[in-house]
Amino acid sequence: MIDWGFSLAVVITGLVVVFAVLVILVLLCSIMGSVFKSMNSKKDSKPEAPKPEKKAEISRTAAPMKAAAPVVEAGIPGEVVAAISAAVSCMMGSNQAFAVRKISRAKGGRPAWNAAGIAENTHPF
Amino acid sequence: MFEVFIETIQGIWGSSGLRVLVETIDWQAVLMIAISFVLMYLAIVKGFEPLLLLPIAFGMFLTNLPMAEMFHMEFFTDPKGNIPWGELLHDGGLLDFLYIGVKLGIYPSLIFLGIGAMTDFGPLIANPKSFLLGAAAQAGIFLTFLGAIALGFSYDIAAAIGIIGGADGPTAIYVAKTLAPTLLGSIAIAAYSYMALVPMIQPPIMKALTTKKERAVVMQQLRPVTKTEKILFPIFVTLIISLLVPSATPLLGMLMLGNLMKESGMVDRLVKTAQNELMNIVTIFLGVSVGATATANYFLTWETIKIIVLGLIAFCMGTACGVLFGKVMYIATKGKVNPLIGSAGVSAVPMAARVSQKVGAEENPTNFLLMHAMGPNVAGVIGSAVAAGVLLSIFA
Repeated sequence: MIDWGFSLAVVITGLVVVFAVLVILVLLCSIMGSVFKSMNSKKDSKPEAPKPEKKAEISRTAAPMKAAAPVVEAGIPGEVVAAISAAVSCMMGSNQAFAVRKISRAKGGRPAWNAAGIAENTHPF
Repeated sequence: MFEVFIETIQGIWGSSGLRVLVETIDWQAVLMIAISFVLMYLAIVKGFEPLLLLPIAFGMFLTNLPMAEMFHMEFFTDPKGNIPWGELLHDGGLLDFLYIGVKLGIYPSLIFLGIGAMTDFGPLIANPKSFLLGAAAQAGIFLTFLGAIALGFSYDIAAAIGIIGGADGPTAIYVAKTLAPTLLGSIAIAAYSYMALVPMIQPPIMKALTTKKERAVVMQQLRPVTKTEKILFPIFVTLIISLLVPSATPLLGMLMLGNLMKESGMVDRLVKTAQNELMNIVTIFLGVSVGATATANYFLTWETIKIIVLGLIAFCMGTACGVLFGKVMYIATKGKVNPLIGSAGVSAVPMAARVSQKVGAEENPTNFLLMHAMGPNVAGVIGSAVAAGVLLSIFA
């Protein structure tokens, strides 16, 4: 004779206990995460004081450069800058004057080589 | 001289298994040996969980050889769990001694130590809501428990069958050795077979329960997790779970010990041993001794067929519940969670997470769900150990 009442009680008890234990762990991890986040943000905010001086230095050195050459993000080689400038010149036409002020990498997207690497590593799955 | 030769040959023939096989023709044993060959084929040629299926299959082969006397199930079937040590030491075979590690729950716990030393809980700590997906997928265990009761199994055996839905071999063995020792072989073989078949079982369910739009959701990158968080995590989890569900402590305690050793970065030698040598030695002992329990009189029964069917149902239910809870999270977060990661809530580390990645990549090849799916995946290991603890505390 099957006691369905007992069986259902086991199911409900089991699910409730599993969820309750894991919800406690969710809370614990969330608290731990927020504590560490605030600790890290405090650490980050402390050395921020000398930053403005650095920025000022950069702007001082960058200002005279601005007229002569575009501000190029570190790691972009001169050939790439030349190729981009040539492409812009080609599109704008020789009659229109233009100046390339800044060249930087597009943000948000994953670099093509990184994407290719991840695709290669996860392909067998 | 000739008489001595004949007598010796007669003696060898009299004690040989071939004589028993020819004279008694135990078709059940022959069939079990044939099944073990099929499992060996699946492990070697098809690559189905070969690390465990191969020792299991060979253990099954050894235990069914007539006159080899490698294993005696009758030593381990006492309802109170008592082992006749005197008889065992006197008449026991090699596999009887190896099986003691299963019976005492040593091997599954040591396997968990190795798993812990190999697991990165970072994705779970970075996104703690993944725990909920790991919990939802455990519904398969409890729903299958009901199915097993409906098919006429006793409560304790039904609980041992249900745990197959946790998709965690060591946990299934840990529960079955206590609640259903005579069906341990069937349950372990069902659990490992379905774990090997995860890439075939899960995708149709995942696709049936989700829309194209849901499957294409690209999730935000996870936050970096500090080393201190990773060190504190195993300590806190052990503390909380051991206090709430003490019967889950052997499995979870060892899992977290392995993880703490890894994250501390101070005991590299121990970590390497836990990940490699110890894990491999225990895997051999566990596999062979679990396979040894699959003797003809316990394996060739209707119960085994029912267990195979219920195991599949348990897997499907676990996957479906995980995906459905993933959909709930998709709605609750306004489309920020891809429901496909819910299916990884059944343990089967890391196979289930790989399946989430693969199905997600089919919709959007630049979508990388693997790390997001690892969160529910490792949460599933914790969830199934907690579920096992609950069932053991009720029925053991």
